[in-house]
Amino acid sequence: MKIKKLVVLSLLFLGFSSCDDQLDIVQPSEINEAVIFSSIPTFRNALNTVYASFPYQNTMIFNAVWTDEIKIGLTNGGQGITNGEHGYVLNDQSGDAGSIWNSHHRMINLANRVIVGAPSVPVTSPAEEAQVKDIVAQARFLRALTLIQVMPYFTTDLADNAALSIIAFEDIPQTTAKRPRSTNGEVYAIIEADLTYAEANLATRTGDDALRFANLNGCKAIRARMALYRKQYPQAQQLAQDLIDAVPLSPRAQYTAMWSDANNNERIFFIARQVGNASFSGLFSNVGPGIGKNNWYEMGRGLFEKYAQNDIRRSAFTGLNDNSNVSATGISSISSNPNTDPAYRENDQICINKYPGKSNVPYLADFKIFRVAEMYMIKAEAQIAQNNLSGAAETLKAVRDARHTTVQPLPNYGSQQAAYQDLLLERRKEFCFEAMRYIDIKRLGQVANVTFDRFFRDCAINNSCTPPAPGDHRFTMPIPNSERNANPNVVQNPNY
Amino acid sequence: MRSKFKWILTLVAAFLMQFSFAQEKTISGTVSGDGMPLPGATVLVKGTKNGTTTDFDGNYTIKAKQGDVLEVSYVGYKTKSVTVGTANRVNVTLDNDTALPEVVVVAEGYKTTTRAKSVSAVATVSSETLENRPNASVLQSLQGQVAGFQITTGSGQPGSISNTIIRGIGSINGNTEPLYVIDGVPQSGSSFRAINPEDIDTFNVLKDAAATALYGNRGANGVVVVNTRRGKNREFSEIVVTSTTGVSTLQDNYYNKMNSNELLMIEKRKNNGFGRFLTDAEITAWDVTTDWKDVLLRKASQKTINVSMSGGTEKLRSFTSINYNETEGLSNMSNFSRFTFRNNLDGKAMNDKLSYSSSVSIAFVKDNRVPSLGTGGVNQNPMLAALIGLPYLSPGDYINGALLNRLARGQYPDSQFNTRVPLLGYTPLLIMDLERNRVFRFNEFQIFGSFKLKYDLTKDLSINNTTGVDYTQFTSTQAQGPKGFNAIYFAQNDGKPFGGSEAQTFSSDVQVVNTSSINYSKTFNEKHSIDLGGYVEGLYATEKSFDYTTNGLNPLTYYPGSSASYIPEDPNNFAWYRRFVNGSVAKAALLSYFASADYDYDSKFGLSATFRRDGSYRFRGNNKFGNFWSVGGRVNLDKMSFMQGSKFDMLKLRASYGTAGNQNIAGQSIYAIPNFFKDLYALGNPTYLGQQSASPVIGNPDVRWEVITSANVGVDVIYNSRLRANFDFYIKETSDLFFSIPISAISGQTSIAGNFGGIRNKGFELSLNYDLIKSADPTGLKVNIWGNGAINNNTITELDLPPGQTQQNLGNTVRRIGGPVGEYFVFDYAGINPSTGNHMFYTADGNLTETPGEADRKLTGLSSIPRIQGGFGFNVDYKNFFLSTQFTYVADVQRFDFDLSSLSNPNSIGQFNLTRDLLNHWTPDNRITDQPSLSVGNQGFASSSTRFLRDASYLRLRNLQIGYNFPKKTFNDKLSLRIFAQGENLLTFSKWRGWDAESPRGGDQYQFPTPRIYTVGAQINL
Repeated sequence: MKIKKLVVLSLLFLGFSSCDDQLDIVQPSEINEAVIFSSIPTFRNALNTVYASFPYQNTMIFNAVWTDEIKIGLTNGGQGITNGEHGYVLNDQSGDAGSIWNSHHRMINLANRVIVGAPSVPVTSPAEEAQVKDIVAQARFLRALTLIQVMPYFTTDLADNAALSIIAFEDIPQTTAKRPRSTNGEVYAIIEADLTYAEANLATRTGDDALRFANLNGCKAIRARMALYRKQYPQAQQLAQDLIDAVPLSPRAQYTAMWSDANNNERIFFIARQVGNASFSGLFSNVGPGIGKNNWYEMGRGLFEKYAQNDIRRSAFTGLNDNSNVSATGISSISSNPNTDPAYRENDQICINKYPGKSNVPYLADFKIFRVAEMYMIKAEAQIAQNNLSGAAETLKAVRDARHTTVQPLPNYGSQQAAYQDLLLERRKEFCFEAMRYIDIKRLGQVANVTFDRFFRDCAINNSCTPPAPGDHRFTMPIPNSERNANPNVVQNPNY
Repeated sequence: MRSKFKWILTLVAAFLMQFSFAQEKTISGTVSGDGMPLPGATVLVKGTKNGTTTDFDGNYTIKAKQGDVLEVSYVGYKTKSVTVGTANRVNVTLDNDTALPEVVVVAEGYKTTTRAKSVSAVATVSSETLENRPNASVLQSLQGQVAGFQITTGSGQPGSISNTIIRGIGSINGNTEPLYVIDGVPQSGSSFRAINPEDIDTFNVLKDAAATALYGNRGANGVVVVNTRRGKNREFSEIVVTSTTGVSTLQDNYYNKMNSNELLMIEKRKNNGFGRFLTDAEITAWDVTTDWKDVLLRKASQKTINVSMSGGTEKLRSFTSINYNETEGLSNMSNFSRFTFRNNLDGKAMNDKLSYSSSVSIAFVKDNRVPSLGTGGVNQNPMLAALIGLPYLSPGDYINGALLNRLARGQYPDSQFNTRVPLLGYTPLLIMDLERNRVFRFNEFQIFGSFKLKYDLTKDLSINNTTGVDYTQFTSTQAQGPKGFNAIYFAQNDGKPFGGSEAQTFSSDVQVVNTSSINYSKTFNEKHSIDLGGYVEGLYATEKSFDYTTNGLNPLTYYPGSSASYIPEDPNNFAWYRRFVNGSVAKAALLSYFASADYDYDSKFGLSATFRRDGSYRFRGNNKFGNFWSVGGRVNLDKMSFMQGSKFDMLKLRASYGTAGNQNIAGQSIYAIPNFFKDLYALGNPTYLGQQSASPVIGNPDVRWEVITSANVGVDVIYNSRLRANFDFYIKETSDLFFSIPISAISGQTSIAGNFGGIRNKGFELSLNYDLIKSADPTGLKVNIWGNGAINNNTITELDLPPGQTQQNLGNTVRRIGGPVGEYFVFDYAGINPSTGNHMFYTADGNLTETPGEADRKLTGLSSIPRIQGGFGFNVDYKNFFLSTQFTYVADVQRFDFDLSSLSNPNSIGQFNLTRDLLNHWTPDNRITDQPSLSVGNQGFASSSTRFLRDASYLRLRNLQIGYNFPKKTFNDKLSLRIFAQGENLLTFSKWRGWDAESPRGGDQYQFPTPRIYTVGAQINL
């Protein structure tokens, strides 16, 4: 009896110590999918993620550093040199390829979550239904934009529907998914369908919101860029013309303010950046443009010399006074004799001022995804391709006139190649630090017989004076290692 | 005549004997050992409860009958039995028992056993080897003491936490640190920052499954059982006062840096930097060469005072200590001070049926730390400036933050360096400014209390409960003061009137552990003894934290931690003037049921078994609980009849096999990945137009326990009371290894963690301890030598990678089946190309290239985890002098010397100092060299190659201690005094050129080296 009592007592003793429930902890503030798709406001939160996550900095800095837009700054601490980025190194370990591939596929995933999750959102009125459709339309717009932004980097030939592209998908894949690359044709089909849906369901917004949320002109701009990539020149030209008619070029006097986001000139669609959002900081410098400000990259002398002194872009992008070689704000200094100046690096500090920042936050700037200037370039390219060289000359002249103090001469192209060369020059001057240069040379380098062009003293620093020839395999990025290790079904691009 | 006398005497004796049998008498005497009286020795009449202890002079009195046997025992001495004869005075001299301490305590808190009866691989380190060592964290002093226990300290920041591994790393992402059980309550290794080393009595390092399985849910990486000192049963108090003081200095590096003339000349040659503006004559005449380590680092002082009191009665004993430690770091910016208090109580009540003990320790730690260690922050990391700062600058070039700002901007024409030294080149001046204006201050407050109860229900059956509460509170103040360069410079860039920023943080962590058990212990027929135990253990933990950061400080009112200087938020004009506020709450819980059974047959054979069922809040469903078990056995050959009369005092064979689980699979923190098994959303950042976003957080529903299965065979030997040896062979297999594998980017991320692999650690351990010279004379010459060594082979055995993948490339390292964890995967360096001056590398097919591709990376089989490590030393005692040494060594370990890499990078010319090696750089006239051209084009590849991968093996004189014990009664009866001097890290033999060969990292750049320390001290016993 005594033993029995002891055992019972002992078991009770152990029993009161614990029970299994204590392991079922719900951590504070935890929420799941069901919560997000349970109401329109939380559903909108999921859409905000897509806007806020839109990748732009990685394509921008790759285009700037890898091509001929920057030079190694006076206070460079190894940026661009150590990893070979400014030495034309591009392989499946390159951070640029990984970052661009991964961030854009993540964007598609984020957009798909909104699109796929929409049916679960309860709606009680036609107005609410329209709100849900508007949100889906925005997500589909952003998906189309993501696709058109990323595919040029990874496909060998944009105009070939059968060529391999990125992995396009419309669901929310499992973490175990291993999908093959889509073809360009498949990607274009998704873009097409997304834009069609967006055009039918986007709500109308006004003021700044009309430009910084998905909008109909933005759909048209995506279509214009897509038609150009697909070499559907008449369509491209028409779409570009529609937008040229809708949005004027900026007056020269307002051009500089455009870049500090003080006006909305030339904008068709932009991703807004506000205090607290990621900025362009840490790309050229983490401090801000200006002499003595730890600029690891400055504007390449080769690019700088392309600008006439009375070109507003020269002043806007470098902080030099308009039509002058001095900088009252101390942002840049120009060597008067760059070819032989013994203190060239100290004297020639052309700091990149395209994103000076707003709200007194250096480098905080909206992503100007589509500006009407691009539509002029698309139109001009379509005209050249259709052998309308004089038309192209007129189109380019319109942009030049808007940028200079004086009326610019009308170019007279002796050949398509000469016209392409002039187009590339104008694109270089207009779109520097806007994630265009690499794709431009990829698409047009061969027809124009143009490649990157660095000033001889800039590239001497790391022996990087030999650019890849037009058509080089490096004009298509490798599928990054991170994807290939995970997914045996992706095919690597040639020569990697 | 002779026979007659004898007869009479015998008769008398017989009479007396009879008389004595009838009546107890009072016996008194002195117990001594090593020629000195032993206070506190136990004297017990065998077979009775009649016992006493000796007083301070070793004297005792006890009532006993003639023919009774007195058992006299004292820790560290062999127990002696003396039969009471006719004499009333019995003096007992005990023999030293350093040979076989029966005190090995295995798994204190759950159960204890003796060395002879242990079936486990256990090593014990006693307080003597750790006493008075000058390391703020006691773990550093343990290095090299236990075979297979690898302790690596990667930072000279005082109080920094060492990296500890038992028998190789068993996890990639998870916790690899052993579990520390302090006074019966499980804690993490970081606790040692707040523990007074002088309070520690013993360390028991538990290595095999038989010992660790009982600790299942957290003991998979081994267990270190720490017992603090407790009061002894004496009728008086003992007071010990110890005081030490010392100085620490830098260990040298062998980079052989350039002086100013050499550097200016090479700058001129490269046409970059200040040297370019000087003529050859000016360069030759330049007479300033500053070694910035002499300016930014220092000879640092340290002092410790420790006072402890212990004593008690049979019913209540106590130990109390206070300790104050103040240690300066080598960097001017670092120091550490710690105050600790401890009180340990042990008592008995209810006719001795109830015994209880409590431990309370309180620690207050205050330290200033060096920020941004290991980074390239030229304005933040002092170690960078100390290593590569330009020697032609001098400390006098720094005046204040405002002028430095002008100089950095090229707007200070008064300085000859203005516009001629690029911004990064001013790093030593920036750090001088940082020392004056950076605040990086941490306070830690820890209270640890445990309460143990044991109640004997019957003679054999007891119930036990242990409750431990660990409360740790961290606060910090971190600021860029408004008068400093950083504040002024960044404010001016943005046109803000006020710069600087300050953050204050607070976090608290409460962990409660409760263990309840029922234990049964019985011996049958005097030969069969069994011990059974059933246990329930729960852990409940909550962590709370909050912090704020504010930008913009007014220099007029600034004082660290005071908000008087905070500039109000002004979002319209200066978005930068903002406040950021954060808070977090996390919870965790563990629950375990376990049982143990031990059987012993006549001390000749023994068997042990344990079973555990462990639950963790981290897992769900069937994965929540894991079942783990172990069995172990031993044969004590020395106790066998055929060994009778041999010189073996112990010859024990033992073997064990078992499993243990690791649920801390994502690092040491109990709070890591609390809900990883769920797919969740996070509401908050990034925002779009101020509106919150909802971002997916992808989980893994299958996440589960890592399981470590280990097998161990070992021999414990004590021979002729002179030689003590232990040998172990083990295999430790981790399955369900938790790590990240790549996944397709379409999932929204590029990797996911899960239980995808396995690791095997296999090795040998040997410890030897030999009394080379023994002496019966207490002041005679005694020499003891000891040594241990361990070889561990670490191999990845399973990788559940996507199809077609045989290895996982992680930049300069790789994971593959058959390779070690952290295997280097680099380009094979082939020297300098004589025709270009660029680096050359071997391609995969053996050709030479200047631009290797990923396919040219080579599997090296090398890693940063040493394969061989151990320690050795000797102890000499002679005429009250003592000398002890401790050497430690590691071998077969490679690390990247990235400090050398930056010192030999020609691209640094003009901004930083370099090694003289580079003076032999390639030129068209010097084509056969091992240094590249000054305009080398492929330097990046070199740092991903074998060029800077160096052998980091070392042999180090870790500790040398010499001292003198003043003979008893030199001063008075009560007081004894010992004085000592010691050095840490006195000598290092290594091929490593950097400050410090020792580091847990695979690559070191701009890190805080551990110091060489000299201390002197005195210990007074009252």
